[in-house]
Amino acid sequence: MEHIHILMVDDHPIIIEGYQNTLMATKKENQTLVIDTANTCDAANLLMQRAANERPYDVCFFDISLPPSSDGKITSGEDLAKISRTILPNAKVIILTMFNESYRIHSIVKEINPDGFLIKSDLTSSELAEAFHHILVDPPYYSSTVSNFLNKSVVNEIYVDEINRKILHLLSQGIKTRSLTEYIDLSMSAIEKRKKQLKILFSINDGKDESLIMEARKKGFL
Amino acid sequence: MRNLFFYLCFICFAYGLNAQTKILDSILSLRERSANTELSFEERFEFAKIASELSKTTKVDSTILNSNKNLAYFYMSADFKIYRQMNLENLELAKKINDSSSIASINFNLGFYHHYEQQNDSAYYYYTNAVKIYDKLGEDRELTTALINIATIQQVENDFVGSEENAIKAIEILQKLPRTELNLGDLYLLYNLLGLNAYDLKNFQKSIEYHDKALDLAKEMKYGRINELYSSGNLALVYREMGDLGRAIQLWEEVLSNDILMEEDPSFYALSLENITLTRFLNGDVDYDGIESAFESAYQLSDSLDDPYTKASTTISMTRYYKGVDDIPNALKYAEETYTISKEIDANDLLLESLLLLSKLKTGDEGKMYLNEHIRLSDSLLDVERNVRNKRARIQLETDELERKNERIEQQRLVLIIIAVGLLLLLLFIYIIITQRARNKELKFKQDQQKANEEIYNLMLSQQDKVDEARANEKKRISEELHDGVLGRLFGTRLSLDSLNFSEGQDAIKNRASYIEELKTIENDIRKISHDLNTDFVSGSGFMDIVSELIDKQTVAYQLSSKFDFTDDINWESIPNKTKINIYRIIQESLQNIYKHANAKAVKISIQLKNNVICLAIEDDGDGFDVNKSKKGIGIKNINSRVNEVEGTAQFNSEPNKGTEVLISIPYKN
Repeated sequence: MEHIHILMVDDHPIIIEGYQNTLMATKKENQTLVIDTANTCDAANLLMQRAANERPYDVCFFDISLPPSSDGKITSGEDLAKISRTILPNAKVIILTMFNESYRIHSIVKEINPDGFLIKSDLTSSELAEAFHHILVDPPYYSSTVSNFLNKSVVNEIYVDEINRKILHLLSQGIKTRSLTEYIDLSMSAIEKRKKQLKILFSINDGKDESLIMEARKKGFL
Repeated sequence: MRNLFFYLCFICFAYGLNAQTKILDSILSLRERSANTELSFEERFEFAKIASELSKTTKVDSTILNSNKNLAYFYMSADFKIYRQMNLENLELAKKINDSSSIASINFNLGFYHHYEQQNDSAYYYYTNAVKIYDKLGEDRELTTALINIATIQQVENDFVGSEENAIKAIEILQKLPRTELNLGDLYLLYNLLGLNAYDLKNFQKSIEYHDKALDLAKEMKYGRINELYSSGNLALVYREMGDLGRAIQLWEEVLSNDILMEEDPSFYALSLENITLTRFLNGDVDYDGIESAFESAYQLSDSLDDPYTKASTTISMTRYYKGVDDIPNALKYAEETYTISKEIDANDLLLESLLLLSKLKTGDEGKMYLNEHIRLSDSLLDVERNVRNKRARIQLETDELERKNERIEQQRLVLIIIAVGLLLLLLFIYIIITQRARNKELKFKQDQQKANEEIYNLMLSQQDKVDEARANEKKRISEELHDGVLGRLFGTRLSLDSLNFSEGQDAIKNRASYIEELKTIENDIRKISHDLNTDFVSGSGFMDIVSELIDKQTVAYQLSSKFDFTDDINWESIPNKTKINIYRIIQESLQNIYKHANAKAVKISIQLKNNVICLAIEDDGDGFDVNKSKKGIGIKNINSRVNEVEGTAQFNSEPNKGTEVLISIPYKN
């Protein structure tokens, strides 16, 4: 009998329910799934700390967007994943996110190098099941969207660092330049400077943010 | 009809104009004909008369004057009295139209008239006037003629110094003119006059010089032969007076030997003859028969010429001769004849001499009587002379004074004009400054207004920005809600339903039903979000927010309690900024007025929409005022002008101590 300890973190209970339903329905005969769930960063952190001392998790499912922890130190699934990498080195980390925007994928892959990376919007239960089993045996498993994107940006000659990607992302969300300081820890002038560099990089001549976003999207940075 | 009238008028006018030019033409031609020397004097005189009559019909002063001047010329020969009269009339006319050239010539004419009539004072007066004007006009030729005449009068009146002065003045002018026969003649006359003056002043050397000069001029003249003789005769007189009898006799002999003399001037011949004869006697000639016969022939000649002056000169010379040879009866006879003639012709010098001789010839009381008469006459002559001189001095003084007065008046006028112009300029300057200041004020007011409007506009813009930002935030909130809430749950439900495909049976059906129920809940949530999206929670509230803020701020500052009601039915975004700015300003100004004048505790402001009219009401519980009595203050005027700008109406309801209500209606064009 194979006991697999699993941690599922998502702020929507119904999603966790979905994961559970899927995994329970598709598990192998010899597998016993022990699943802990958490809806908040605090709960997840607590579970991980405890598990590290007693029985570490084999697999951790992290959602990216989560309400921050009460002490404000853990703000997302990304942070939780980092923690699990240090205190549960053998745990397989699977990131499930609604975010299919490129800059997130890039940073997540770079920061955490997860064993699994799935995008909720194109995820079916069979794919989840397949991914789960694949990761247990032969990680990593990246969903087709993620791997496609990674391939594309590797080919791309233009190098755009994380902050610039974030700027592009926020702009594409319709955030105004003067509000960017609320999201990025940079001064207004620094942000303006970066925007100017970006426009040169993407050879935008008319100076419009709109053109910049369009070009970045065409080149696969968004 | 009106056009016809106008046309008629035009015709009349044109005709009148035409007639006028015709008359002028005929006047001109008449004048020309009257100047035609080929015609007889009577004919020419007649033409001049007709021209004058015609001119009077034109009523044009200059035409009348010219025609009358022309006519006056003829009267100079025809009727001397009328000549004077006409000249006097012409003078008035010329003064009226200020024709100074004519004034001068008419003055000269009048001077000539009086000169001829031997009214020397009047002649002197007119000549002096003429001289002044000619001098001013620079008409040298006429000026010298007038000066010569004046000098002549002065010489006759024994004002030798004055005569000399005028003569020299005339000579100076004449020297500059071309040496024509006429000018030379005048120059000759003047030098002759100077010679006579010097003679009378007993300045014989000078007299000789002048007469020599006159002689030279006479020689220069083309027709100066007779003038030469006159000068020689005059020179001879001077020499005789100087005692150079031989030289005098020689000169007279030369004169008398001239053939033309007897033809040209027999009087002068007689005069020269008696003079040479007397001089010969004085020079010690003892050919008494010859002398007596010469005297006799001179006497006969002068008698036959009917020239009393020459005759008297001859008789006085004869008296002197007979007295010299002690032929008392003859001496007495000629002395008495001289006395009679000279008395007749007013030849005072001869009269005096004859009286003196008579007093010496007669003895006793008769002699005394003549002596007395002599003394009396010479005294009276002296008096006359003095009077004349005084009079002339007075005339000169008066004209000088008149001139000075004119000058003063002119100066005063100049000063007056300068002052007037200065005042006018000052007024203009003041006017310009005032208008400029008013314009500046207006401009400043407009600028202030613009600035205030701009502020409100900016306020509205910033409000718009706020609204935009709120909208953006709301959009973001909804997006997040969709993303995090709905999408997550949808994904979870999908995943669960998907996984239920692996199992079958009653349990699975039950589970599915619960997930389908979940889907329903999500549906509801989505509907809610959609509803949120549909209701623009910030729409239109912008302007009212600004107004609320204004009222809050102002009433706090003025320590008023306020109530602000407004309707949401007005779509402020569709209302032009002008209207909004004016509403804002009206409220602002009204609050200011309430604070300044009303002593109010509370204000109530409401904005409602009634029958497509925006109704703004501002009420206070202050002092109020009498709407009918009160002079409209600037506040009310401003409100009125603002309301007019947006085509609205304003109504002020107020009574003393019952507060004020301002009702403003602005059409709402949606």
